[in-house]
Amino acid sequence: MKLKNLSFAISTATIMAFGSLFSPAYSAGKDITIVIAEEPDIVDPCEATRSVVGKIVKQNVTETLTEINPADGSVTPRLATSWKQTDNLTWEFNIRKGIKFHDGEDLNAQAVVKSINRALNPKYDCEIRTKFFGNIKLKASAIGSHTISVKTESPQPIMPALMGTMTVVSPNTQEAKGVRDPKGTGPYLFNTWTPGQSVTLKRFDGYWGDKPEVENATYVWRNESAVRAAMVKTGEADIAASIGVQDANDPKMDFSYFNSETSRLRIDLTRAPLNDIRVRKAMNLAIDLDGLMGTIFPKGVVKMTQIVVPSINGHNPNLKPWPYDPAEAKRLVKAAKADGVPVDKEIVLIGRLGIYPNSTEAMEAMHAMLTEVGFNIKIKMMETAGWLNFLSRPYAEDRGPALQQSQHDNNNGDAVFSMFNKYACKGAQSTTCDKQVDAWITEATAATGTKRRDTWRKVQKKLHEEIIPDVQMFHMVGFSRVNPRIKFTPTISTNSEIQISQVKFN
Amino acid sequence: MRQYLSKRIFSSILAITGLFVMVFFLARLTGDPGHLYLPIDAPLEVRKEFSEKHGFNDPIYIQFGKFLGDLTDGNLGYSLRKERPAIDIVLEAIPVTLSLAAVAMSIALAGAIIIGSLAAYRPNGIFDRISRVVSLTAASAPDFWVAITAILIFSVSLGWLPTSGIGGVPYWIMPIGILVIRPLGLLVQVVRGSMITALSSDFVKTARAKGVKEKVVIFKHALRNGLLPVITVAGDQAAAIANGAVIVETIFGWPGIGKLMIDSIMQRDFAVVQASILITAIVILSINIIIDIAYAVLDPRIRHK
Amino acid sequence: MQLILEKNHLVNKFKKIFSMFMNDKLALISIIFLIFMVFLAFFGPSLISESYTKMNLRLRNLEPFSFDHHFMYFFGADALGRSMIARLILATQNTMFIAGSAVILSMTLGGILGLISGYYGGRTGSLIMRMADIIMSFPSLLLAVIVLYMFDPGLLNLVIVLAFTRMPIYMRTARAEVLEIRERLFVSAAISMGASNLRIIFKHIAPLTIPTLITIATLDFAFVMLGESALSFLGVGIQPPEVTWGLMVAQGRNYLQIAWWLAFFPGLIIMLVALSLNLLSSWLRIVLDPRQRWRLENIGDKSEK
Repeated sequence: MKLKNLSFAISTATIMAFGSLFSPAYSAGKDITIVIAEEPDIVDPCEATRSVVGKIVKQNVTETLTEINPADGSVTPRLATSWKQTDNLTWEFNIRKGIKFHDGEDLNAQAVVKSINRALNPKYDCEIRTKFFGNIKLKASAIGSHTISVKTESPQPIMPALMGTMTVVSPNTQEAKGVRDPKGTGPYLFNTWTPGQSVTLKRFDGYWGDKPEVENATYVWRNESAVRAAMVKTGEADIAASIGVQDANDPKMDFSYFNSETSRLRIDLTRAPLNDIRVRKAMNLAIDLDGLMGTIFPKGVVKMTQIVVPSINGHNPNLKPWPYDPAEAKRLVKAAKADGVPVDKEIVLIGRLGIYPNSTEAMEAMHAMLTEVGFNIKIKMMETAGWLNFLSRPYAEDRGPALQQSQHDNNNGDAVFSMFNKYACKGAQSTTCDKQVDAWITEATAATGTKRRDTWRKVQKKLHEEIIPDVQMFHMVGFSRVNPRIKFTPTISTNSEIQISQVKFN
Repeated sequence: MRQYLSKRIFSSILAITGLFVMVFFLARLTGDPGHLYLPIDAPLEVRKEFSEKHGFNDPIYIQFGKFLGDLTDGNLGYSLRKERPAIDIVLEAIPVTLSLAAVAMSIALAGAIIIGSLAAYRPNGIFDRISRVVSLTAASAPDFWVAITAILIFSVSLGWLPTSGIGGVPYWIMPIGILVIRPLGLLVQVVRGSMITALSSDFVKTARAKGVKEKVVIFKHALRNGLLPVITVAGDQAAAIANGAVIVETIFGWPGIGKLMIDSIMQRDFAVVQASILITAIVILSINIIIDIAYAVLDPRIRHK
Repeated sequence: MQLILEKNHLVNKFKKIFSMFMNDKLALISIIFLIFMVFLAFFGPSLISESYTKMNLRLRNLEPFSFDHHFMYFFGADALGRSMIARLILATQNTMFIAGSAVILSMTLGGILGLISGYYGGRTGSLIMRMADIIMSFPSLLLAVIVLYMFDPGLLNLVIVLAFTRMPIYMRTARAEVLEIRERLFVSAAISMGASNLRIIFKHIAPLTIPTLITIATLDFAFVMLGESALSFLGVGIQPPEVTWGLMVAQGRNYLQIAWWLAFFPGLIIMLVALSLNLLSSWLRIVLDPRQRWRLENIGDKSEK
């Protein structure tokens, strides 16, 4: 150990203890403070799809070529003004002219291509690549001063939506390494980052769009929901991006919003007794969803019928949620038992701590209701890493029958971001395999327009009525607490971005 | 003395090494960080490539060998999550916790000496009984519960103190208060016990007989002797305070080593886990050695050996 | 004849203990409360009917102290509408089991290791003490988190982890006692008579260390309970549908603003049990210390006159 380092540490400790006696933290004037749940470990814009990074940099510091309209999932222009598909495999995007990056570089086709290549560099585990472009072979090239073409090996009809995830950074940004001072084109400059304490953004005067009202934004983080809510109440913060339902007890400050998450219990269809459809039906009939709404789950949640929310292209509006019918559930269990299905076998309910507010209570309630109709359920609550071991392939060979508490977030406009991974034979978290479903997923992925929409709808219907791979629960709502001195309306995308330029003062 | 010290330091280094090896292997048995680091929807190929690149597929003893190799170059590893050298992150966090712990411990010691001496003055008297019940009750409450309740009362309802965060004196009051409670309750009892013994000792009786003032008797003659066991117990509380710091830092959003360790364990950021454990262990063992020295200086019997 | 004498002796001994309790009213109340808790732990769960422990969302977060419902709901109901009283009783069994087993386990293991270390000294002895140093040089809470990430946080693993982290204090105490006892005359006598080492350790030395170890264990029980609840706060404690007081506080903390009673009652019980144990332990310390025992006996003599 270097003694020098240690003595440095100790002397800093003394300075901290006595030096920083008074420093006001109450936000005032044209500055706002936002409190989020966890500290960003990194702020590189190519990680902007992670919600903690996205809430800070996405559309604030760095912008994307396109944007998804939260209301209906349609794709709207941002840095790109227009786009068109030139052939099956190629898309062209026209880039907005006269825009400068924070470091003074021009935004042009070259810069965008460089930024795309940086994000997709296999030497760096950028989340945009690992989450959205992991299976896509893509080549971007500049074909004019402000026009790029994007060529893929397989047809990508939703390329414009995909570009809604692609943050554009200055060409001076370091390659193959995360940066701590991102430079983009957004309305705010990344100003300071004091690890462990705060991140600050500052208004960028050279912004191409409307001049936002907020001058400085400070991000802080607190783990406990009660503390985040208290901070807005006492005026120490202006926005608490997400608080628990039990802390949202002040109708003047608290807003609920659909957060594009859908919660369910995934059923492992490969293991008895869960491979019997009567068992899976019985499980859905056993859940008193109405009883859970407004108690363990917030009032505004909506019963799900499929994994994607209504604003997503490919959502099937004609499906009916399961009714609560414990008598019928018991009958189905009995009938299955009579046919020799081992319904008494212990089924593990794998839960994840804190996956949503009250997640443990929710699993206790599910446990109680499933036990009521005659299942033998054992709850196993796990922290994230342990839970993930059960969620994705490769699955353990010797696993027993299991239900897994899971929640899926898709606010990218199209069902394609959900269906393959969750329900195709080779999907990363799929526990079902149906040839027809697989064929339709492949077909819909390559299709466009109404054909695409209708094919997705067929998939949803078949899953909901014939396969039943989930114990269906809710499309979820989140809660934000907003200081009355500002105007800010949380939307379905508040989970992944907080556009400070939309904040107005009252 | 010098021989004793060098022996002590040597055995501490041994202890740290043992702890370190244990944690290295334990941490790696808790699972592949790739699962946590990559998005849920990452394709299988990406996962494989990730594990290859960062050496998580290697047998654990090879990982350990690599780590030792880096260590000899003075490199404690690189945080996968924060993309910075682990040692930098740890050295940022240590001062926060140290200052928290130092202030809390000083207050606890001072409080314990005052309350304990007063209680020992009349054992089983009214003050003794009340102070015992109150201090022990406070020490027996789950600290996270006290912390959140305190925020709701003092920040939300009364508006006297800021809810959380780091800053001037008002920001320190609640976190320190929570950290002080438990060691204070224990130390009061220790001070009381050793003061009772000291007060009934011969030289205190002599001092009283000589007509020395009662205050002087308690706080000068008796206290000096009564303090020795207190120092030992206070040393043992160093690790206990670190436990408290984990909770306090998590709730109040202080960027200290306790929160850093919990977060990095949860995120399987092994380099940071290792570096922070190493530094924490060094700090705690150094404190223990300093206490040993203090003990020797204060206790004439040891000093003369 | 001899039987009667022995019986008389026993009765006398019992009387003496009883009168020593009578002279410390706080200790008396504590022991009565603790006996009641142990009774609840053994028989409580079989006394409550299942309907009070079942989910009943209509009664969710029912307020306490109302007579509109069955008396089982006098302390209100939790987030799933289960009777708080019933939950608290169910939790008594688990909490007592976890804390009790952990304390007994760590006392036995730590005691034996300390005995061996103190008796044999030399390399074995110091190796064992280095083990204690390793455990002491690191915040036990974090060690427990790492271990519980690896293994399921089931009842048994929880006991083992908690026992492991509390071991050093018994190792050190036992060792210190042995070092002193070994020098006494009767041990040398036993050695010269050719008694085997094991026999000397367990027949002659161990019984003398037990009173001190038990005094520590009483205190430790409270620490283990608090440690268990801190683990629940961090999410690695016992998992539902099992329940402990610590878990109830940890889950209830989310509801402090709208249903304070969810965290308050289990927190209160933890505090009361810990307080009783603390009071009992300080009583024990006086009873087991020949130099201080008069404090409890003398008063008794006076009152008999």
